[in-house]
Parts: sequence; C-alpha cells; structure tokens
Amino acid sequence: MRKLIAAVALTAVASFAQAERITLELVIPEMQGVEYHRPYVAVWISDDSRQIVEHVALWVEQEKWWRDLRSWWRRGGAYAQLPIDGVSGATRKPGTYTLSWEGQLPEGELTLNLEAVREVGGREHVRLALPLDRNGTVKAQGSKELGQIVARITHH
Amino acid sequence: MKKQLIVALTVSVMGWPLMADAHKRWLLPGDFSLSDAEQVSVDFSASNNIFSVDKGMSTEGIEVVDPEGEVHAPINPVQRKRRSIFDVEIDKKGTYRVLSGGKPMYFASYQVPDEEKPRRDRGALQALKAKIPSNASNVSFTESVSLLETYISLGAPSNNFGSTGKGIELVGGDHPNTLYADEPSRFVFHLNGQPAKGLTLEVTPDGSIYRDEEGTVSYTLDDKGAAEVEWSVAGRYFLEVGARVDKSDANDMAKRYGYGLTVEVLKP
Repeated sequence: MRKLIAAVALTAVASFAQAERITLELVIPEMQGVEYHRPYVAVWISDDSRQIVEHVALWVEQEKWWRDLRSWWRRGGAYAQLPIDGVSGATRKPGTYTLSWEGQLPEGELTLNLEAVREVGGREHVRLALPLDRNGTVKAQGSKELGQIVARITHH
Repeated sequence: MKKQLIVALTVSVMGWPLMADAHKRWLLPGDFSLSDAEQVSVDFSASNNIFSVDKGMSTEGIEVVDPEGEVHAPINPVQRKRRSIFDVEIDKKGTYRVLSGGKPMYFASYQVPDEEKPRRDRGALQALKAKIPSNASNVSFTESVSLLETYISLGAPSNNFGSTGKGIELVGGDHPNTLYADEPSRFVFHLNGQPAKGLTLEVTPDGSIYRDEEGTVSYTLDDKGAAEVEWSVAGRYFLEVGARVDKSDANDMAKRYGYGLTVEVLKP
C-alpha cells in the first residue's frame, strides 16, 4: 500500500512540472463616436483543428449578444457553460488590461485568439501563434476593435 | 421489377397553374442562431426574387418541432397579401425545425366531353375522385409532397432533422446552423427514405433582385444523396431539390416531390 501511495504522489508532482503561464496585455482602444458600447471580448486558445482548447477570458453582458462573438461561438462558445471561474466577467471600458492564465497545454500548434465585438460597432478577431517550445513573447496589433496585444508565455 | 423513372427537376415546373410554383416559396426567419431565448419572427412568401416578398402563403400546416420533438403551432400566424408572418418561441437549448407542408397533396386532371380544356383540381384523394364525373376521360392523378423548412438553434445545435421517410428530406451533413463562408458545407438528402442519388440541388443566394442573374449554382447529389456546397459570400441562401416520378406500371399515379431550405451562412 505504501509503495502505491508513493507512486501516485510522484506522478502528481511530475504533472505540474509541465505547466505554462501566459501573461497577456491587451488594449481596448478609445473610440470617438455618438453611441459607444463596451466591447464583448473573448480570449481563447485553439488547436490545429481550430477548436477551443482553453477559455482564457470572456467579458460579456447580455446573453443575447454572445453569439455575435462569432468565431468564439463557432469554435466552442456555443457549448460553453457560463460562468467560468476566473475567466468570464463583465465588459470593460477602454484601457490596457493584463490577464494571466496558468495551466497545462497540449503539445503542437496552438493559437491564442482574441475576438472583440461592439454593439452598434465593428468586430475584430486577432490570432497569435504560440511558440512550440512554450517560451517567448508574441505581439499583434489590432486595427479597430483591439489595440496592441502582447502575450508572454513561460514554461515551468 | 418495373423501373421507376425518376427525373431531376427544378421547382419552377410547367403545367401546374394551381400551384404558385413558378415562383419560389420560402420561409425566412429573423434569426437562425441565438445565444438567448427569443421569439423569432418568420416570413412566409412566394416570389420570383428570392427573399423579396411578393405573395403571402397560407399559414395552415406550419409546424414547429422543438429540440425534444414536441410539435408546436406557430404563434399569431397571419396571412397578408404580400407576405405571411408567424412567430416561433425559441426557449429550449438545441435546434428547432420550422416547416410547412411535407404531407401528400393530390392533383387531378380530366377531360369532360364538349369542354375545350381539361379540368384540374386538387385536394384529398378520395374527395378528388368523388368529384370526377362518370363521363370524364383522360383522368390522371398526381401525388405531390412538398416540404419547406428552416432551422433555428439556441446555444449548441442539435440533430432535429425530419424523418418521415416521405418525399425529399434533409437527413444529415453539416448542421444548417453551423455554416460559414470560408468552408464548403455538406448536405445529405433522402427521397422516400432512401439516398436521393442523382437529384439536383440548386443553391441561390439572397438578393437576386440586385443582380443581373439568378446566381443559382447546381449540384448533383451523389450515391449517398449528398453534395458539398461552396458559399460565394456570407448571407442567406435558399436550397432546393425537386424530383418527378412518372406514372408507370409500378405507379398508378405520377409523383412530384419538392423541397426548400432556408439557411444563413456567416462571415468567418
């Protein structure tokens, strides 16, 4: 019995040795306009079949408009059960936000996706390929609904 | 075994003036994919230009099948001159199927002596037969099964395809509420419960009134009754399949089958 418990304990330690941490900085740009609604934003990690592997952030209000996050909805959002602890929350006003996510990721090609859509506004979906060795920084620049995006991924 | 002659046919067929089938008849819901419960407004009209209303259709025989298979009547249906409208309550998660028709209708044609043209009539089969005078000649009947449908989902879509085994039915392929303009979509049809092999699927995008041509693209259904449809743009589309089976030794009457599906294709 003692040998079995020791083996299980070792396995538990070994699995956490492979965690990734992602620190994401994203900008919701200021907009000049008559009718401004805070964007609905979805951040997720997808695999090479484009399906959602991990939800990272979901800033939404009325359920009615969730499906307007069209890519998120298509790739797994329609199946998501909300609220998701540490992921879903209210929409945010323009500014720079830092999020962090920690967990295990599968091997292979993974993409960090950010999608933002505004009521009476536009929609944008930005994709960043995550480094295969899970160490490094990737950047992108949104053109309308998202601003500068910087994602740092570390493996520990 | 006598062979049945099955002929692929567009819906705009000649010779049946009692049916408004020189036009396309179509259902058009206001929403196809929902993330919250809503009451969805649906238009029902017949027109030459797809999704441009022209003639309001009868709302009798409209059914709404919910994700659990329960059948509901449409809410507040009204037949107006140019368009008919009804509402559908979408509050259960999964896919609703909204349909009109799908049940056999019968047409009769017969010649009465001293009349110039053959008489035509339609209705239930026994009632039709009873109305035919004993001195009539060239009596022929046609059975017609014509189905119009569309699908509306709340949350994740579910399998809610028709399965009566009568006429042309959509039975599989990509779910109608998961269509995007960056990927072709597969549709699988049955005719009378068997793969609709060799029939023609015609796909027409919205807005033909704003084009110089119909824009209809045709596909031949393969051995499984399937076709892969490529979408030129995001938007609403109308898909039609038709077939005609001539009267023969194996069939005491000619059969006509029609099918129309309204879908939405999203921008990826």
